[in-house]
Amino acid sequence: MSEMAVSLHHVTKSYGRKQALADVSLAIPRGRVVGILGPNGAGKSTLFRILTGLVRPEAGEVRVLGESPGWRTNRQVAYLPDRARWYPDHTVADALRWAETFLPGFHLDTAHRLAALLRMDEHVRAGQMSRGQEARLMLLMCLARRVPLVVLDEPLAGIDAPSRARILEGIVSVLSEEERPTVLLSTHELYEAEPLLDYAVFLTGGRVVLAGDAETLRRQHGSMRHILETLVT
Amino acid sequence: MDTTSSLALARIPFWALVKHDFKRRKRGGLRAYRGWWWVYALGVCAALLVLSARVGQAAENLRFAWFAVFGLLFLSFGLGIGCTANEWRNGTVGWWLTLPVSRGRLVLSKWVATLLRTLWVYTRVFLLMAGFGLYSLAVAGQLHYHTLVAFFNTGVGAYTLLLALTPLPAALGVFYGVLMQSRLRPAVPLVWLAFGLVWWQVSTRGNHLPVASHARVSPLFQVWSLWSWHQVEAVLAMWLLAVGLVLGAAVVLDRYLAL
Repeated sequence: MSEMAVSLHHVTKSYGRKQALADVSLAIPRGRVVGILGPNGAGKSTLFRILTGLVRPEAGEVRVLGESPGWRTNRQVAYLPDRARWYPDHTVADALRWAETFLPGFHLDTAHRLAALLRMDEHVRAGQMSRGQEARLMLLMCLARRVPLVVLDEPLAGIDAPSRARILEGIVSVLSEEERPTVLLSTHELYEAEPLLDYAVFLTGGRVVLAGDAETLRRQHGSMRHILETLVT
Repeated sequence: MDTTSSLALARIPFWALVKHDFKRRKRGGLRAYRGWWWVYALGVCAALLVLSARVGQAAENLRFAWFAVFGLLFLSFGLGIGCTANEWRNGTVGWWLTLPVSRGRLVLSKWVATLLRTLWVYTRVFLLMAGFGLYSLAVAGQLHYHTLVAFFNTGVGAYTLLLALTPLPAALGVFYGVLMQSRLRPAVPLVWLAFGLVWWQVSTRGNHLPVASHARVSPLFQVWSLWSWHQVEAVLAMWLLAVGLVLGAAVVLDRYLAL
């Protein structure tokens, strides 16, 4: 088994003339909670899409849990897509039944525990939920899976403060389990998410500008927020 | 955490995917427009009543009403587009494309679901047309064995041809829905051009298909025995083309996706 959850070697990806990732090399160890941080357009979502096989890089090598990313590795990856919505006709109960069939490693008991923790009403359809409720439902779909890698693309974006707090509670609850997965998390809500992170990767303009153990980075550069503000300016 | 080996062996049943894709999902304001379905349903019923009242003089030609069902091929095309494009419209494309299922199976499931949805509509339309025919013939006092045979033979003939043609527009709809979300979108006019040529060929051959000409003299429900090998070959070629389009959609999703 590979010691690294994710590794990239000289990976490049462009959309037309815009280079989303430029010669990115990166190695993320297993069992860490990793913040993938950077301003809008830094390449965070592109990185996640490459890791889940949604898009292919033009150059470079990518390994996820020791294999090339694609539909087969997605059995072991729980992914919350950027700007995603849930199937509008599903109630929470429908969504849980769907997840049992379609998401390998999905545990119904964990899902019910998380649904209670996230204060989900099991009878409301996703189409009638607030954005915060829908975001919590989608997070539940990911966190109730017992898989080695969890990839959360902006799980806190556009969500009100009470829902953000519940989402973070949900993440902490999974991280406190004995066999915790590697979690990749991108967010702009660093004030709330920073305490969760024990590893960080900073991207700007499609390049990795800083990466390492969160404590070491804090000692050297100050808080994550401070580092991000410095990079943006 | 589940063991890596148990996760690696996890399989999603194909028919579970089809069942999931079979359901029509559209986000937002659907409830507000639901009343319009009733308006259209009442409109269709009123039109059928008016038509059946006027059909007395022309009961002999009632069987030609079955030709209206060929318009349903466009519905199949639209259902194919909707089945795929709704993943983007509903914001669920990220979930769909990261399911641990090959692109080929994902697209195949959409195609099968489109065919099943189309069949569901065809069945309802057949029952509606049959009811309309029986009612009209009864009103006109023409409810005899030979008029019924002519009417239903034409219907079965039309439906046989319709079912034979349906896999192609359904596959084209799925392919088109995927193509519109890819970096190959500029090729859409070329696809229309190619489809136009195929459709022209089909229409030309379709004029010779034994839908109505022998319907009056054939035994009930046996009009398909009048198909020639050339026509069967043409249909088989269309099915192959449909399978090619489904495979093409999988390749487009795999290599040319624009996200």
